[in-house]
Formats: sequence, structure tokens, C-alpha cells
Amino acid sequence: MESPGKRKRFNDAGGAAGYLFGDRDRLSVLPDCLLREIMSHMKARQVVQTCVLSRRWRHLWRSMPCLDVDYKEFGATYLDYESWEKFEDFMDTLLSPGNVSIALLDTLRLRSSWDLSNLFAEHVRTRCQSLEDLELQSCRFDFQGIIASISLKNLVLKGCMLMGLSEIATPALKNLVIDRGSNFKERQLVITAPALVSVFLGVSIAIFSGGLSLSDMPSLAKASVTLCDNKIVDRFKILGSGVSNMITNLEVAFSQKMELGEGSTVIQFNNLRTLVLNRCDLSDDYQILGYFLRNSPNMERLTLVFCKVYCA
Amino acid sequence: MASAGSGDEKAAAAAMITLISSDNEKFEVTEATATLSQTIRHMIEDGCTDGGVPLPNVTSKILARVIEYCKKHATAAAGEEGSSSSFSDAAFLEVDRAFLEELEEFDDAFLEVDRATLFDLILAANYLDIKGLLNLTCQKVADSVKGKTPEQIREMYNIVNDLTPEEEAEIRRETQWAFE
Repeated sequence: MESPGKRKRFNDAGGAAGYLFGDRDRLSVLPDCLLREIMSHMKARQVVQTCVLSRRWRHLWRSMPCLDVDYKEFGATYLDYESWEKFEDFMDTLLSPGNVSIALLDTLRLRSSWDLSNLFAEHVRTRCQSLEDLELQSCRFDFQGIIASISLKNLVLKGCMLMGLSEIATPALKNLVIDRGSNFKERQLVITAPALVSVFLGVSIAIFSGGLSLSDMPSLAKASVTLCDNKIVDRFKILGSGVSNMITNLEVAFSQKMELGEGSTVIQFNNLRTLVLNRCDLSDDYQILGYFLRNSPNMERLTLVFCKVYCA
Repeated sequence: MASAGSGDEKAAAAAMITLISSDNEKFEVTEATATLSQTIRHMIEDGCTDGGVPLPNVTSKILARVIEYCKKHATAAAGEEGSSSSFSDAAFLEVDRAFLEELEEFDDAFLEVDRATLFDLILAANYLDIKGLLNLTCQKVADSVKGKTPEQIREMYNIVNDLTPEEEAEIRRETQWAFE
């Protein structure tokens, strides 16, 4: 399936034709879109470095549909400030005008464990007009930050420190994942995502004390929450009543004794369909289990996995 | 009676699709296996599969491998639909995990091929529009150059450097920020 254009170029190069007929340069036989597909599986720094491979490769990196920027590619660690600077410079340069065409990006994965600048949020908001998938891992939001995008469909925040993030404003968002991570500040994270279909929250609320405020989501079909907390009722008060009434699937994983928590406020789980208690200690005379059963009128399935129950 | 019988036959036949490789070898596959390919899925939807689907860009050697991949992953897709696929359900998670591990082992073994075959698989996955296979094979190539310098990549894949030394120096100056 060699393209005629390819053949011509090799003949022009003179003497290199043997490589083509000997089937040796298999990589360059692929069309540009497939080379970019392969590059999409490489880390961003190496993607840029392909520009010196040959003439064919010179500008391929500028129009990538997918970028994976990872501090690990720079050998950066917490204490190695020099590597951090290199990583930051790389990222700023990569995304600034004249380098990678971020208007063409549909997928961006960023692993940083360093403060994300306002500049980054600004890039996402104004210049990444085609961005549909954004995955941020170990990033810190240390500013009064907003993730706003009209094109974004999938947003994954993995192990991020969100204390500076105040708002996620994404009118087209379908899937949202907040997996681990923390938000120590008392400030609520406001999420405006009216088209959301599925949301996953896997947080320990003890370190997510700001709670969440959610807009109406009429299309929401699945809201899964995994909690690693024992004072369940208190924790849901922090998350906000919008969250408890939205949940369809709840998994509680905690090895210590479960407690109802203080106060007698009743939290309703009106949408809860499946509940999994995973490695929970239920030797509170099943109070917590009873609480869930009483306040979840639509529960369809209850699963207990390796739970400790009281034996007289 | 007769018409009902032929209707049944037709339904049974519709579930099987015949794929024809560039060297005219015929492969009978189930519709579930074939429709992992978006290209074939669209052909089925348009009713263009009677008498077999000719695939002039895929040799029998490569098509056999592609079908092997699709068979395995079609089973996986069916399994996902069958289970509750609730990712917060720990009991199902255990089953899913074992299955995913098996699938991963299959994929690893599947990729144990020479480079020529790997690139033929990439082209076939692209032509047939099988996203999972395209990702898998492209990842394999990307992994093979991980951590390698441009010089090492050139050597590995016999890429002819047709840039003049002056041009290469200029490009390196422009993109110095990625080489530091």
C-alpha cells in the first residue's frame, strides 16, 4: 500500500529506493495520519524530537491530534528543581503559538505534580477549540482556577490537588471522573455540566472538605461514588445533598468500624440502585446498613464483600 | 412451510459473514466478530455483504491474524454487555479483572510478530477501522522507540536522513527546547 508520492520521493533521494523495495523503511511507508497515530502513543518530548528524523518528519509533530505531556520524561522529581524548570519551559513552549497547533488537539493528557499556571487554563479555554478529552494526573491547581471549555466531552482528574480549582464549566461534558485527589480548602468546587451522562467520584471526603456543588444534569444515567470513609452521614453532608440524591452506584470501602456520625440529619439516596460495602466493619449492629436500606427507596442490589459482622 | 424454512436459513446465514482476502482466500466469521471492524459494520448496515466482503488490501496471512484478534475481543465485548458492567461493583470487578488479565496476555502474545507483520497489521487495522487493534499495534511501535534518541530511531527503522547537515542544525536550533 505504498503511495505513489512516497515512491517518487525516494527515487528523488537517489540510492534510497533500495530501502523501499527491500521493504526496509517500513515506518516511512505509512501515511502521515498513521505516523501521527503512532506518535500519539509517545510522550510529547519525544514527539517533538522526531522532527530531525528526516524531511518527511519535520513538521508532523506540529499537527498532533493527541499529546501526552509527562514530567517523568524529564526525570523530574519533587526535589530536582532543575528538571522541573526544564519540564515547565518545555510545556510553556510547546503550547505557545507557533509550535504545536493546539487548535487541532482533541486529546490532551498531562501529568505534572506541579502547579498548573493560569496560562494553561487560558489555553484550554480560548485556544483548544477541538479539545474533547482532557486528562490531568497529579496536577496542582494553586490558583483561583476554572476549567472552562465548550468542546470538552471527557474530563479525568486523577490524584490532583484541587484546592485552587473553583469551577468546572463545560456545557458539552459527557463524562467526568474525579479519582482520588484532594481539596483541603473550604471552598466548594462548582461543577456546571448540564449534558453530563456519567460521573465517577472516588474520593476520601476527609481530604475533600470543600464539597461539591452540581448543576442540574437531566441526562445523567450513572453516578458512581467510591468512598473510603467511616463517618458516612457526616461525609455526605460535606459533599452536599445534590450529590447523595444523584448517586446511582455507591461503593463504600473502609476497614474500620462504620459510624453513622453525629447529628440526626437524614440523607436521602433517592437514585441509589446498587450499593457495595467492601471490607467494611458492620459490627455496629448493622446500623449503617439499616440506614442505607431505609433511605434508599430504589435500591436494587446490595453486595457485601468481606464485611466483618458481629458475632456474639 | 417452504417460505418459513428459507426465512430461517436466511437468518442463520445472515449471522455469518464471508471475508475474502486479496489472495482470494475465504474466511467465515460471525457477525459479532466481523463488526469489530467499523468498515465491515457499515457494509452490513448497508446490506452490501451478500456474496462475501472482498478486502483487496489485506492478505490471507494478515486477515487470519486480524480475525484471531477480533474473535477474542468480540467475546470480551459480549462479556461486558452481559455483566452489569458497573465499575463500582466489587464482586463483578473480580471477574472482570481476571478476564482483563487474560485479554492482556492474549494481546501480548498476539504482538509477538516480526516488524513487517506488525506494520501490515497497522495498515489492516486502519483500513478495516478496528480501533482496539490500531491502538494496540501503534502502542507496540511507540514502545519500541521509547527513550531512544532520533539517531537510534533512524537506525532501528532504517529511516534515511535526507536532511542536509545545515538543515538538521537549523531544525535542532528551532526546537532546542525539546532536546535540552
